[in-house]
Amino acid sequence: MIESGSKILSAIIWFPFIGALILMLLPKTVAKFAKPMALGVSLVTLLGAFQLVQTFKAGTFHFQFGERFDWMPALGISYSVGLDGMSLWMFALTALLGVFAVLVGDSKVERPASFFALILALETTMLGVFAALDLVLFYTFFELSLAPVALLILGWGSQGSEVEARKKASIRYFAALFAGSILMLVGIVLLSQLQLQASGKLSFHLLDIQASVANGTLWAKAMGLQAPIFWAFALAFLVKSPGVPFHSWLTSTYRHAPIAALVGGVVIKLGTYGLFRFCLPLFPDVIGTAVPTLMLIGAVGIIYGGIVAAGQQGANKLMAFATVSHVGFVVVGLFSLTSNGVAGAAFQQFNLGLVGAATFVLLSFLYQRKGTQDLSSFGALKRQMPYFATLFLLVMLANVGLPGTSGFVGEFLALMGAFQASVEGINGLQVGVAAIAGFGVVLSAVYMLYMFQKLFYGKAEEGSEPIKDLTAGELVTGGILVGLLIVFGIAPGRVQRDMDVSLQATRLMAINAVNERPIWAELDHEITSGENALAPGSLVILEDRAIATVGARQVDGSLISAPKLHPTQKDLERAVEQNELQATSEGADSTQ
Amino acid sequence: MPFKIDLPLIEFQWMMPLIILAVSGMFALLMDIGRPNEKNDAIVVVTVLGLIAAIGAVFNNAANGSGSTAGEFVIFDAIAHVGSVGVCLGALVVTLFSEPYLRNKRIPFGEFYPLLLWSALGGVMMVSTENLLVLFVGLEILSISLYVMAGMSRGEATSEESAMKYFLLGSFATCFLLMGIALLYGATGKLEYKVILGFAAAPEEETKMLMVAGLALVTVGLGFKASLVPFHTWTPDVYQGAPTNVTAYMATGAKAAAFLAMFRFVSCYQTYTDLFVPALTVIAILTMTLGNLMGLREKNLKRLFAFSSIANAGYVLIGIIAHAKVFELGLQSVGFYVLSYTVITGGIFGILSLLAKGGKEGSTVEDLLGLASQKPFAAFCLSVFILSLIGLPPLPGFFGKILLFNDALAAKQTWLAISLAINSVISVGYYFPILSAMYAKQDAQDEVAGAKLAKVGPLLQGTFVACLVGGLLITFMMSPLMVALGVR
Repeated sequence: MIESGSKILSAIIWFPFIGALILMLLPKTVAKFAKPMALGVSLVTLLGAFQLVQTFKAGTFHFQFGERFDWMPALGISYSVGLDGMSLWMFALTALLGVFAVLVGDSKVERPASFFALILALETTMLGVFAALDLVLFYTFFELSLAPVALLILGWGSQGSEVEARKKASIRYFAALFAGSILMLVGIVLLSQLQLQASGKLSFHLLDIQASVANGTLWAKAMGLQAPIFWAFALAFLVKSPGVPFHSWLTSTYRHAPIAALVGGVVIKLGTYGLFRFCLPLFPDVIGTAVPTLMLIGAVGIIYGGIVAAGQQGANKLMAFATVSHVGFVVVGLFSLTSNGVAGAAFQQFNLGLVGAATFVLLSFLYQRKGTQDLSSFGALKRQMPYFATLFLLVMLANVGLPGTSGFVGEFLALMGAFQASVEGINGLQVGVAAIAGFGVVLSAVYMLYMFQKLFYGKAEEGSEPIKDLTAGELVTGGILVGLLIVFGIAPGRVQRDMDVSLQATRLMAINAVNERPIWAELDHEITSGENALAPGSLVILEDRAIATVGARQVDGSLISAPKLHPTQKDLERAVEQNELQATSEGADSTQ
Repeated sequence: MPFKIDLPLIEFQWMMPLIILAVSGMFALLMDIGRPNEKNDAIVVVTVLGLIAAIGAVFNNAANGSGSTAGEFVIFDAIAHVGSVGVCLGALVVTLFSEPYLRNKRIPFGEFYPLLLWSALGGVMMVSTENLLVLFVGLEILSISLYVMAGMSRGEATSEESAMKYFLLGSFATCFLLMGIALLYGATGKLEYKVILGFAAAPEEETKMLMVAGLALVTVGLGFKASLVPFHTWTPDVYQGAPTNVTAYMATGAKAAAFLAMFRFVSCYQTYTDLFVPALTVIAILTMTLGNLMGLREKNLKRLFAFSSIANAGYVLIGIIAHAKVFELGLQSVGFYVLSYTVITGGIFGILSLLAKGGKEGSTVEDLLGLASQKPFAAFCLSVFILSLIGLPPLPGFFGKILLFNDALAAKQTWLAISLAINSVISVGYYFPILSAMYAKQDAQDEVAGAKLAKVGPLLQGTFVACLVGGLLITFMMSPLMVALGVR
């Protein structure tokens, strides 16, 4: 257990918040510099996150940059942060989108200091969600992110939204998400009490609780509680994601929130992140029984979101339903519980943040010119705005999931996982569910092409003034995001590699039997070689994603002595096949 | 042989909180008689100093552990320490913003401060005794002062109505309490909790009915002060009519006394616990649910916070139930909840006192329209307080709820935990519109529609800062604070 650790992670998390405080306290006369100052703060944060990516040690699923100190010792609440391969990239993405959120923020907005302060505060809460390792700290950031968004909707709102409508949208947003997660809080407190019974120590720390889950002591006497607590967690994350039928808050939020909040708002993806981080590792004994329901929620979301999106007049509302559909892919991939599915789901989640932000950044350029979100008031933009049309085309293709864009990688793997799982009938899955989900790919083409057609072809509204093409600054802003979409589409390499180790470990936590589940630890970053560099329990990933722990096999991969961590018989056989040349016959025997 | 009475030994150092409150109250009253030009400043200073000294004396007592004096009429233990600090803290916050408010309201009566101090004295007596008679005397000192204070705005019919209603219903509830005390006395022949507790632990067939009825009636009498459903009906009317600072004291200090007195009393249930806990559970669920549901339809701010305080009474009752069920549980959650709620709610009423200007007082949610643009800091504080009541982490209300969840689950009262969770969501429905009213971008004419707001002087500004900082401090220093008060 690392008592102090380096403070770099906390510094990055809280830097935007400190920036926000300074903005709030500045005199009104310098308010016009609010945007450049906020931009500076978010850029420094991004640099910090980049530094983390640089120093992150690949090849282990353990948490790095860990910090831990007792916050409220009497209650067992600690301030603990740390990153693993998956949260690292979500963290970096949040920092990146923070910059773009400030960039698309209108500098002529009323009370600019408060506006940009809230955007920065939002960034801190989201960074915190991805880094928090204590359940109460996680819940704190998770809920705290509600306040800035609700205030942004209330005080600023999007183009052309009325005061009353905004009030309704903000209370709806706040109440729906608060309601969704309050039962999770009861679940968290229950978990801590079970942890107290299991280990004799009061703790809300994810690593402590996961260790007790992995060795079976936590649930030993309380098996009956596992399903209710699992669903309390799942509900919170499904409401936030949002999954059907908990999505109704999303449309009004997308309609009325200022666009900067949406760009900065990986908010939407916090939910699926929670599914990975908590639902998989902590509830291994019930997850199998929950899979059919969750797969259905995912598949229905894909189809329902896609169909409804195709009928929308407002661009933001269309994007809201598109999000519902995209989140469906994450859920389907994740709960296939196959290595491909989980990997795809995680990458899709990462990609969703990127594509969603790119789309909103481009749409914001349009709204600033025209002051409306209504698709029917645009038309024939292709001739007037050729550069814009080119960028938008690329973003649209990424939304659809065309090979070569980042949208393809995640969707494809997630669907593949769903098909694998359902063909093998794991957890009682039907092939039909996977087939339905696959159909959603077609739907995304329908609604995105519909939007593209409405915007760029047809006739311009009569009497409307011609719209100017993007300025150089806007072109660069949009261009960078679109470039990233393509880069991650062609070469997802580093992101996927880092994520994969964590994901496969998380997956094994969910599907393995007691005492065969990997156990999280914190990695001391000061030690660069020796045992800690690749601690026992670190996962080594083979070409086809079959895995074993270092403890179970030699680091050079020459011998599998007892690869008991292999999840399915099939994975296992494949792994053995690969190592057949080196493996001794007794090694192969022990796998049976 | 001469008639001889054994006077119990009185150790005055233990009684310092009570003595300080009584003496500073008398001192304040004397100053009121001779005050120059209707200026209350000196009285305010005496009151604030008296309350701070009383709180200091409580901490000093707590540092010496716990004990009893005056023949066990007065007991100083963790419950007493927590309760006394709660009562005095409530009175202190109220004192801070009272003077500007009373001036704006044009009722600058100096009597308010001695009454407040004596009311606090009654509250401290209530929580520092295990004798039913002393409990009764304390409750009466607390209540009678409150009856007078509620009617202080003599020009207003609502204030008089408030005082009258409070007095009549309060007297009625006192009858219940007295009847309960009489029955318990009849059953046991004693007024001390430890004797009653002994009888309840080993019930005899012939006194069983007396015991059950007595325990129930005393609980009802205390439940009235804590405004538990169905003894809550006075709350909205009285809160609405009384001057805002008096309302604030009713919602904070008086409640703290009622909760901690009740907390102490429930350990008398013993073998009757199985009878009373389900009843109290129903009352708790009803209290929080009805309080919140009725709050949803309320437009008047003071009534709204009356319902909010009813709902919060239901939450606190969870901790009391846990304590009744498992003796070790509850004090930390009830203590922390009461202390943080006192500071937060005191701060809220402090901000609402801004709505009074030139003898008039606005009281609807719409009156807050201009707050964010005219008094940004007050608006910021109010939104933090409101978010704390909703239970947004990492604000005090959130940790209060975590502690209550913890106790409810540890005492195997899962339904209470779930009920608390659901009720937290319902409460968003009436808390959040207050935020909307302040922060939603308004059209020009709406700004004018908001009430004229009083000037924020240094005293008020100080109150807001004190409540904001105090609330956060109580939260983040929870563990040392609770240790200092002798809780575990």
